[in-house]
Amino acid sequence: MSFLAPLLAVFGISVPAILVLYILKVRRRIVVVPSTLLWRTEAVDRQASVPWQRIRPSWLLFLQLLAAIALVLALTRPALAHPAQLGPDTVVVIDASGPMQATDVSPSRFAAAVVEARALVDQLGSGQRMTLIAMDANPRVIAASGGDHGVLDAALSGLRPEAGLADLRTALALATAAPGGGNGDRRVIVISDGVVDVSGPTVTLPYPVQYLPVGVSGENLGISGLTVSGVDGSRVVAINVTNYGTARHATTIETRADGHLVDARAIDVEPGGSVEVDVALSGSPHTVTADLTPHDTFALDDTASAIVQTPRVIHAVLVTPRNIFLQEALQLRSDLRLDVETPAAYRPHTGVDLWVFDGFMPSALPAQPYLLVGPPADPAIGAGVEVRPGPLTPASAGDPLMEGVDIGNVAVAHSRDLSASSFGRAVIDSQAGPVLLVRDGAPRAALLGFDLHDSDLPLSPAFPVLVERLSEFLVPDAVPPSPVEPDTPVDIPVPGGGSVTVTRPDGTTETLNVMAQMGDAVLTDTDQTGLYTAIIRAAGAQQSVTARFAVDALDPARSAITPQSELASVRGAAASPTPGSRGAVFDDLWPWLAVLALAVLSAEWVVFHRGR
Amino acid sequence: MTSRAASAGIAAARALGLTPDVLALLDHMSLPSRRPVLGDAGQRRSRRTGGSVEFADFRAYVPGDDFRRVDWNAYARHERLIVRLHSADEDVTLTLWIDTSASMAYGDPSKLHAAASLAGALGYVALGAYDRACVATFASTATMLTPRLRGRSATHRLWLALAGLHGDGRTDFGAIGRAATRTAPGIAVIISDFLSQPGPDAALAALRGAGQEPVLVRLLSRQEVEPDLQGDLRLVDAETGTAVEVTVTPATIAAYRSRLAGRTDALRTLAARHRARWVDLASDTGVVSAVRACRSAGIVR
Repeated sequence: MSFLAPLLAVFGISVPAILVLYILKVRRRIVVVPSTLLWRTEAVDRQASVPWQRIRPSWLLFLQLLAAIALVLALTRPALAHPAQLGPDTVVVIDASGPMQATDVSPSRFAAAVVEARALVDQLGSGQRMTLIAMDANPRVIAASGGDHGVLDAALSGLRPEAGLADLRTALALATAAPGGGNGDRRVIVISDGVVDVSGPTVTLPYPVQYLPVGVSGENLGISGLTVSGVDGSRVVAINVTNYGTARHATTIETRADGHLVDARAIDVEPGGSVEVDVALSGSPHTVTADLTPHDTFALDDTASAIVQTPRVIHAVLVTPRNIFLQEALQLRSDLRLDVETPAAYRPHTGVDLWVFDGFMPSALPAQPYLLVGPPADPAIGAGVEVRPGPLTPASAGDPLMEGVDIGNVAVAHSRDLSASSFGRAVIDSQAGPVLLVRDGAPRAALLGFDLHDSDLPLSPAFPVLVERLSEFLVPDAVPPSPVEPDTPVDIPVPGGGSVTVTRPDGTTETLNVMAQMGDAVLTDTDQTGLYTAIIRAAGAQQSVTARFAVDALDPARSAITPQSELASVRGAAASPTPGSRGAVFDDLWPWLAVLALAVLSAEWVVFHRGR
Repeated sequence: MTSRAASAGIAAARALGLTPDVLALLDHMSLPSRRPVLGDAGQRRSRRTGGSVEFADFRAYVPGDDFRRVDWNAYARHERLIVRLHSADEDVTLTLWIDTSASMAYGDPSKLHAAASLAGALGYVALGAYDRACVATFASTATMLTPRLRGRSATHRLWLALAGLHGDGRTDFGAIGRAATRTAPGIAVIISDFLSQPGPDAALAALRGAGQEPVLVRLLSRQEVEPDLQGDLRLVDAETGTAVEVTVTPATIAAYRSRLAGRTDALRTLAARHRARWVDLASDTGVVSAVRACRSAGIVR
């Protein structure tokens, strides 16, 4: 047995101190009483004529000494030592992704992983450090490098499995970057079922990587698709069920519309195969939910929901002398109804979702979203004289508006000088300043500085894509029209700013405030599957708009939950040094001594109050 | 009795709490006798045999004697007032034994003051009913403060004796036993706190042997019944000077009360064994309530 804090034995002075207190007499106040006849038995063992007295056997003294000894021993932290199983620096990566919710091991893969992690924490010895990393779609450090068992246990207690797919690559990057790994004695332990995102090249770590697999079975039947087509009165729900296991499975698909059961159908699905079930819907339901009953060991993909939506029609008006390029590009959108007017015939009116002004700018810009193409010079929008822009480049990398838009070879002869414009943020830049500006406020608007006829852009494959991106930006969907995967950020447009209150499937709510410059609320907490309701309150608007969207776990990569015997795409360094160099682990005995001291003090309290 | 002595007696009565209202209440009371006792001619039946008009003796008249008992024939012959005594009409002598030890000086009001007040009241009752009364004190020794007084006019002397008491010395009930033979048979009322060892066992036996009918009146101060002490104390006995050290806690107080109750039971049992009446009073009870308690116990009626 070792003492981890032997210096604290100095508090052993309390033992002789207690004895001294029993030897020394108490200084007492003198009170003259008529008679001591009735008090005498109280003082049989306390009378003395000297400043000290002989110690008499006393339960109180015995218990107080015992409590003091127990407390002093606890302070010195006696511990039993045994060889450590871990190295001086261990990083434990715990898989908290969706597949870890599988219950093929009791109570779940995730719970089993936490148990294994706790066992590792228990093996942590003095002077050893451990870092805990939660691995899901967004890996993160949940306990920084340290040796405090309480902190590590608390981090494990607060960890919950998410619905997304594990991002092993990012988790290992975090493990590499964690502090304290400079001396090369780090060891990485991954507790996972191996169902991870393996896209990309093999990850090579400078440390040994140990994989502790969790899970025993990959049998899983899940919904891999849910689509609603048709119009009210003749809608059809197409439900795809996939067998990700190695055995044939039977199940029943229960289909509910607005919560009411409309169809229940038994199906058999071959291993690796899929079955599509079409269910006709009558009436005009708002939501459809498909449920596989009974649920198997992986329930996350046994339920899927969809919002029944009537395809919207965007009414756009193109005001142009003549621009066949723009007209054709706009008409590529099936949900857009386009009217074409000449500038002379332009009259502002309502009922228009999108205005497109080509080579023309009205005296008063409309209240609806609009796109200005090749406007005349106008200080109101900051359009100056014509300049030669030169090569075009995206103003910022990763702009969703430029996703799939290749403008590298586009040439523009002339463009309005927008360098001094405060119209909005730049999307396409050039040597002479921006040529495409967009505004996120209300109404949304876009300004393309050049006439399409002065450019070869209309002949580029990027042109229709750019027009579609711009039209989607200018007239966005309130919420995603089709189900999104868990842990996927959802943009909820709030032009002009305001707030969005989102109610999750479990009834919890979150309010997101949107500044006018932002234009979008981004909901990131979408780990729950099911139906979400968003109440959108635009700034200054009298009424709110309610929109619903669904989050479904339809990704086959998540549903293929077969545990992997080894981690793919990961290569670690050579094995760790000999166990003898790992030091020792100490089992603290102080908690038991503290409990003993508490029990003895409780007994002392009882003896004190009964004996007096 | 001179008017000056009467005035001093009235002042002493006031000091003892015996106001005219209290005295008016006492006027309706008298001493009972549980059994016939030997005594002088008076209002009570003697245990001696003989008819109610049987002549027993003569003695000189003293103020307060009933004029009907004066032998006018003897007066005619000797020109002295002579009273005829009859065997069946002997009066009772009330001996008031008051503990004047140092412990009796404690309390608010002091136990000694309460004892003197009660003794003054009982003596007034006795003398008012043509019985005899005398006051004796005891601590280390016994002292007869007054002779056997008779007649209401003697109450002033009795009160004056009681008003001058002060506490000192140690309680010794043996002093009563040694003096018991010097007192007339009758009723012996011992007023004390009985907080000493040995107890009054021997004294009661001696009184009984001397033809006394003993009455024990215990007086305790409120502080003795409900101690308000706390903390680590060195308690010094006011009589013996011995000290004990105690740490006073609620549990200690509870133990004290338990022992006080045991002490009370022991004294009550002792009184019963000696066929003595028992009265338990607190020093702040007040003389009227104290006398009523005595009446409840059959000491007066």
